[in-house]
Amino acid sequence: MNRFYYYLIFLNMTVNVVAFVPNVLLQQRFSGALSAMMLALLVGTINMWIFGVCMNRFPGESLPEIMNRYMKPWIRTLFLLFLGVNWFIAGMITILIFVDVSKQYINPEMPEWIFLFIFLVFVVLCAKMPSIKVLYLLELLLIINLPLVVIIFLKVYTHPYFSWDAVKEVGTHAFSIPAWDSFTVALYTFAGYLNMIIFASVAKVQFKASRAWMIGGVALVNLFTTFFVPIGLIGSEAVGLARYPWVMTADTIRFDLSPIERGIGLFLLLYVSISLTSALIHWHVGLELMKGAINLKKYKPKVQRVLPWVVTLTFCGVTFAVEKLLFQSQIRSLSLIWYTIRLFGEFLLIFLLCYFAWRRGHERV
Amino acid sequence: MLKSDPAKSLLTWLQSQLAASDDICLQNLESKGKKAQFFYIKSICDQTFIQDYLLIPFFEIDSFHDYMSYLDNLFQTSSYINPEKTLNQFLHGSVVFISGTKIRLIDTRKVANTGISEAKIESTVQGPQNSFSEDIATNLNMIRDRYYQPSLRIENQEIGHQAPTPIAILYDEKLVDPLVLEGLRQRLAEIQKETSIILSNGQLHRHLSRRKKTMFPTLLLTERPDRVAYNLAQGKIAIVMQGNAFVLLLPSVFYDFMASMDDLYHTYWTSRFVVILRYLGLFITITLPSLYVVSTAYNPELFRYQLALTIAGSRISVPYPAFIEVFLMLLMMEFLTEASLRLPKMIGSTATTVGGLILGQAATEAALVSNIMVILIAAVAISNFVIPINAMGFAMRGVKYLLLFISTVFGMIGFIVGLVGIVAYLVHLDSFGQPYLRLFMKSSTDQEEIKRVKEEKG
Amino acid sequence: MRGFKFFIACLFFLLAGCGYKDIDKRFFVVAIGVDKSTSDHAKYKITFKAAIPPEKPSAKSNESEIVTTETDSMTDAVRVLRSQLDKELDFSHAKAIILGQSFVEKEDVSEILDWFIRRRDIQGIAYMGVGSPTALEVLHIKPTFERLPGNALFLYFGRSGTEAPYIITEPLFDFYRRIKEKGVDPILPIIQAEGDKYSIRSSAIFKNYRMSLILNDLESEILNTFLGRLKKTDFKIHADGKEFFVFADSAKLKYDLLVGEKPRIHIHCKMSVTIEESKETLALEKLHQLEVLTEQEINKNVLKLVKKLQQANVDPIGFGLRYRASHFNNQNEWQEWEKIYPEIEFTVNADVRVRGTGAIY
Repeated sequence: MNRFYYYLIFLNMTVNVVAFVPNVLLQQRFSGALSAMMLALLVGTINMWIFGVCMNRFPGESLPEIMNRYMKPWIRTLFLLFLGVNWFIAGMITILIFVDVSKQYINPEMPEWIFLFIFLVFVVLCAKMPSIKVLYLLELLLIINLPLVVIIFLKVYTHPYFSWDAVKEVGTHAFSIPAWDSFTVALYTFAGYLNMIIFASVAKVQFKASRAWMIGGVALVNLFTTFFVPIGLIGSEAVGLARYPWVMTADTIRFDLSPIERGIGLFLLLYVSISLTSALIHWHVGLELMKGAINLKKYKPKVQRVLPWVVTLTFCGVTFAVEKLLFQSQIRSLSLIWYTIRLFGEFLLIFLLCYFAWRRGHERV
Repeated sequence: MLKSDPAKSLLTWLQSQLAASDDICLQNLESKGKKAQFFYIKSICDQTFIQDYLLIPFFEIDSFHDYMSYLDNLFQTSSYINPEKTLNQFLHGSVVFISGTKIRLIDTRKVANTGISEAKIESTVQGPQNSFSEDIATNLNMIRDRYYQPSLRIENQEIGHQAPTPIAILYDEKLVDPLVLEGLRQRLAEIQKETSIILSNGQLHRHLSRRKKTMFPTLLLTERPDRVAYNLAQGKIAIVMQGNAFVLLLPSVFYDFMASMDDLYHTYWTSRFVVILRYLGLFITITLPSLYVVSTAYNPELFRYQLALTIAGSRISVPYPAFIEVFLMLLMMEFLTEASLRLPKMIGSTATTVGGLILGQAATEAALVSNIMVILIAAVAISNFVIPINAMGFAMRGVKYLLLFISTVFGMIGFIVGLVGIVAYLVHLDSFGQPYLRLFMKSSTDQEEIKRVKEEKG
Repeated sequence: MRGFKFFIACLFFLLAGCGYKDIDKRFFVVAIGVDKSTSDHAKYKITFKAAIPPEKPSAKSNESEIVTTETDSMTDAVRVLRSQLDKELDFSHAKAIILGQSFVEKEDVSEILDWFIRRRDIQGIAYMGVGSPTALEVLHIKPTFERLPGNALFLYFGRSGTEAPYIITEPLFDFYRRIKEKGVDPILPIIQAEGDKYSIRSSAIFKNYRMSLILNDLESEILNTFLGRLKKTDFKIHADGKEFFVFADSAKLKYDLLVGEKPRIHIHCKMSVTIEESKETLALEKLHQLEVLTEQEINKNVLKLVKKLQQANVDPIGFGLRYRASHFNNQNEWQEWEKIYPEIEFTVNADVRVRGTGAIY
């Protein structure tokens, strides 16, 4: 199977470490997060498997192309626009959290709009690259960041102050009723595979069912780490007070034998590059979906050049406005609502894909 | 058309086209019933050759018919095509032979500099030491001598519409990518219309790349024949230009600029080690100045406590902020590098010693810079030259200033975003259809790749 | 159009650059001390120890500037002390947080801890300790062997310097975790100021946010091993007329919580030792006897420690957390534990293997 598929999934899993996901899960650690995570693991793997099997019927085609065949234009445009906006919001949330974390930890004296500016300049300019180039960039950045991830992973699990008792203590709450927020948020960990709806046209993947279980295993390790490691290092009670549990966890790491002593430095380095990559991928997919929604190739070249700019700059404006007008807590609650919307969008997409695959199967006959 | 017309009118036409220069020579010969006219430019033609092989046989061979067959069997002889081409060849050192109705052109070019010297810029430890010379024929000779393949194809062409410079395009027919070749031909045709004179392969490089203002080289200039042969075997196209000791190779990707021929000549692990060194050097040269500014002025918590105190201590009496200090020292280093290119050999070593002393000891003693800065600048300057191909080294020199500027203004975030931004820019570049930077490359020319990129563009 | 874009970009660049402060305009605070205030109108007495950078990098000196003030909160203290120093106070290298002994005995520690945790620039791995008699005196100490200001204290705690067995290393994050957690109690080493040197030989255990028990050196050593932070340790064995010292390079103290009719904690200790010093020559055949003696001594000491902890109703080792972790009864498991703990039985089983007797018998 093509390596780009794995990269997309791995990227989403890694970026979840610093987004809202740990915070939400850990806030509900005594009221159903663990069972929600297990459920999400199961549902996510099944979703991924169904998605892969359906996409196998359409080798080398991206979602707008598939929809062109089977759906009436106006439903198609509407749905693709909805998906595109969803992806843009996903990227926007990553950007907003990035701004907050940067202001809190890296440069407290710099006004937020400067962070937004640099970040958006990068994301906007790179989201307009052709899809294959975006994939190359993703590959390069992930491989460069891989040693950092490995180092932090190792350091955290071999930490002398890691308290397995605290982990077990939260484990004893495993049989509570699953919490909805935790479920939606844990399901988002898997959402990396959904990016394939655009990249399928450049990264030819033949999805094998056996790989789904392997990815499920990796996701299990990822969720386990995201959830339990802060508990083990910050304590089962104190972790509920942390706004960014993983950044605080990284602060407990000490490198005795290196010029960088605080683990938080390394972690923030990793975090910035992963956030950049993730926002880039999301906005690229969103842009491509919107281009596909209105079938850009039919228009004049001038419109073809200008329209992407208009769309991305509009979203930049929206990001700036949201950042200025809303508090972090409001952004958080709105994001939780968005996660639910996204979940329904995902199920709808899978359902539609099943329908298309069924139609395709009957066509052949 | 009368047969005598082309011959007579040719000479008159040629003479009308040329400026009345003193080194143009017209010789009328008559011997044993044969009449002939030799028309050539003295300063380009090999006088000895004309004397020995054209004039003396003219007087020795009795029959005109025998002389003509002798002339036709000389390999330098070519037949007449049209007046314009004749003029062109005449300017390139051919003798125009007119006798009766027969017109022949004999190539007697005397080349001034065919010397083969040692590779000065891209030298290796164990490999071949020769570099190209400035004569196109010698260069083609050297390349053919290394690449014994029947499928090697050489196309001669001229570039520049006012003062055409001969170039030769070489490629291996079986391995080359036809799309790249097509793109090259189109581009050369465009350049032919636009530019008046092209003097060097570097200039041609600038015209060939589609963007007007680039920093990163997308085509490789090399002075080594073994490198050209190696690249031809990978399916690349080489352009040799008359008067240039450098050969242009295309398409070239980022790895080509970081690879030296030594990687092939050393043992496997040694060459891996050296390659890692190079990338480390690249990383150090770009990031070290910015890292200094960021980790002292914005985020001193990044590094250890001992380091923070040492730097604070060494900067106590420095009168200006850290980024100005870095910038000034970098500038001094640039001046030193540029000056050492142009210094006459006598003064060379003195200037570098003085420069080193000044920049090092004296500036620190006078408390104009901190002594950490001196080590930093030395490391940056030295690691810049670890990059094997100069063009990329120069590009990286510019990049480090850009990164320094972004880090100074935006801090740690600017540094990381700038670094990732540079990587993103490199990924976004294309070299004649080939993606410039990619992590896993099967080879530099990838057919699937080109098609995909073409599809994306339109 | 291009010129316009360029102009806008330049504008942005001119407006940015906030947060730029050269390193020689900062004063690095390396240690923070919190004492109980001696006067009536303020709650705390806060001390900062700021490092003065050495003139030349080769000339190491441990000069530092100590400023102190009496206020009601940390933020006030920072504000006041800022005006006393010419450079900006920078806390990014504040690696030692010392709380005065009188302060921890009487006041609630968790209030002042909030500032340390909330701020982003105080390291989560900063070392904490109790300063005796006061934090101010501890901060004033300038050992002559110290190469950088405040460095000696860091080297005591970090394992890259000395690895003495009595020193319990307690980073800030761990202290905060223990304060908030139900089932583990916080501990801190007690740093004694003796002339111009530090002496760290005892430790303090907290309950209800105040210091409640002090352990002596042997007890601190055993506690350290219990917590898994100490691998190398040595003991004095004095029994049966023999007196010798053993050195263990890997000591493991683990425990099992057995709940049922009669709740019991079974501690087992596994060590591999070599004899470090002995009053008499040791015969090779007697090694087994030495092992038995060592085991007995260790059993005795460990039991003494846990009984002492039980009596004072403190739980630094985390028996409570282990209890919570093994029970699914989440509603009232904590109340259950509070009833069980004072009655619980301890059994110790040590397994010692003497590997060798050093260079001579």
